[in-house]
Amino acid sequence: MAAILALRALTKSFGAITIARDLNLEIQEGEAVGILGPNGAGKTTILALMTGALRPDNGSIEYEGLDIRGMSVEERCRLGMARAFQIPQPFGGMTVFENVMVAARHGAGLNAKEAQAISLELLERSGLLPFANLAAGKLTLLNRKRLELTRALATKPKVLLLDEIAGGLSQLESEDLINLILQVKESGVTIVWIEHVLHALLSVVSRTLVLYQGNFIADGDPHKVLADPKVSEIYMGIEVDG
Amino acid sequence: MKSNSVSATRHSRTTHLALVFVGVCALVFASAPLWAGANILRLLTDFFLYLSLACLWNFLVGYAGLVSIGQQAFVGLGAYGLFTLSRYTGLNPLVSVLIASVVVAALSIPFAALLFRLKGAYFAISSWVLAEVLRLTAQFIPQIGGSSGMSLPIEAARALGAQPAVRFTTIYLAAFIALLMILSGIYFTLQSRTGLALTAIRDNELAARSNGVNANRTKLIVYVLTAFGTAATGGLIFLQRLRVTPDSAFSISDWTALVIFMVVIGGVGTFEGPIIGAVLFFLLRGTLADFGPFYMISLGAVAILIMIYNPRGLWGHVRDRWHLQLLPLNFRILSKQDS
Repeated sequence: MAAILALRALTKSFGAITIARDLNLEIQEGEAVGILGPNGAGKTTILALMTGALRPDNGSIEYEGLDIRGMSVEERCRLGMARAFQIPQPFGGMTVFENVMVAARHGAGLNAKEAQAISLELLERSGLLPFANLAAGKLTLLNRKRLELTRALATKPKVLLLDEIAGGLSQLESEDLINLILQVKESGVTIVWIEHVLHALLSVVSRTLVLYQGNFIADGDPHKVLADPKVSEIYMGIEVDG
Repeated sequence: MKSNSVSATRHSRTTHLALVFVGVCALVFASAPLWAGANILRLLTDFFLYLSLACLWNFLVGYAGLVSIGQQAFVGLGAYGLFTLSRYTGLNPLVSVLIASVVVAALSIPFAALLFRLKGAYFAISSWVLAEVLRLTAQFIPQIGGSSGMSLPIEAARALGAQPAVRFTTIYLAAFIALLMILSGIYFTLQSRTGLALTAIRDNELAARSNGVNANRTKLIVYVLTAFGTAATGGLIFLQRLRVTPDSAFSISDWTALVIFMVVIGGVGTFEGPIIGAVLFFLLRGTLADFGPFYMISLGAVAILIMIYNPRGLWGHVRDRWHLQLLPLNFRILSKQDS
């Protein structure tokens, strides 16, 4: 089976700091992959390289076997790569419904009628329907995160890139989000998820990578990866409660 | 709440009333040549043309976030296009205005290629520089009259009506139709997929692009549409004046500064704002114009007061305070029992 998303000999550095050094990664369709790594390891940068918000210094990124290096953020989104930002980025002046409509019309390329139907359906699934008429800038953190995810889903992604979507939420709060992500995973969407909240991550992903100093130092079954002495050394002090 | 028990709509009782009001206004103004004297027609013509410029500038700045202080470039190009075509082809001036506007819209694409490399204040300044370059260039082309400009050929003016009164009526109707087309053009763009993209870009460009919005293309569409409308308005302004010079056609104070004043006091980024601003400007001008320098000082004072106490403009304030929406531009989700 061909990989849906592949990084090939990817290199990216900011000045003296190397984020990726000859990085290779293949993600299969339908896989749910978690990326761990200490703060500042460059996990968000890896997502930004995948979506095109940043350009690699070297190497290539393939999506469905296609080299997408030259493509803009919006082109990649339309091909099916959606990103939920670590700090939610709502369109503050627009209503919650309109936020989702933007993604449905532009990201998924739906016509007005289809877009309205799918937006309402997704808002219902994420529990945001009661807030549909509220300006997105007025949402609470939990609801912003929900919106971030709902909007990403409205682009009809094949690959969903999640950046610390459970960060800053209580366990109870993140449960709804996790359930939604599990549903998305079951519908066949590939998931790449950066997360510090391990119990959230482990309830979804079946493969975990650890990014450290420009390389993936571990790759495989999440529990085995976390038990790896190299990983626990980097993650010293973090308890695995998943 | 279930998604199949709700529906999305843009309409409400307020928007229905507003549309009726707009219709009544349109009828009143369309019939103005039947009931209004020459002075009122001239004043209304002036008002429509300024209102067109204000709505266009607001479309560009308030919606696409392209803060231009060089829209006089397009006013001037539209005016010069009209006079040049009239001098060298003898076409009906209204046809010339249309042709000139299409040409200017095409010209705005290379302008955009140049200016879009710059952002924010740099974009603003360079849009002004571009207009200045055009003004200076016009001064050096003898075929279009150099720095002394040119007059509309008498036959061209006659084509609009042998008598001045008939001519004023023709120009009045042309200005009115142009305004209606500009307003509905903006309105339908805002209601469309592009309108959704524009508001998203205004709120957060990276997020908009990450959700599939082609930001550059959307901005280009607005830039070109605005150039087209501004050129047409410029043509009509100078059709009324019968004379054009580089300084008057590419004037930043007449075609951009006053327009900014109207939009800012009315409310940037709202459809209704520029309309309110233009009405207020014409009321102020009508009552204060006899006081000489005091007129400009009071305009400045009004602008400063509104900037300090109401940075969103008068309409922005009213809308936020009473959650009012006159035109059906934003969606409301209603549960089916309510509607």
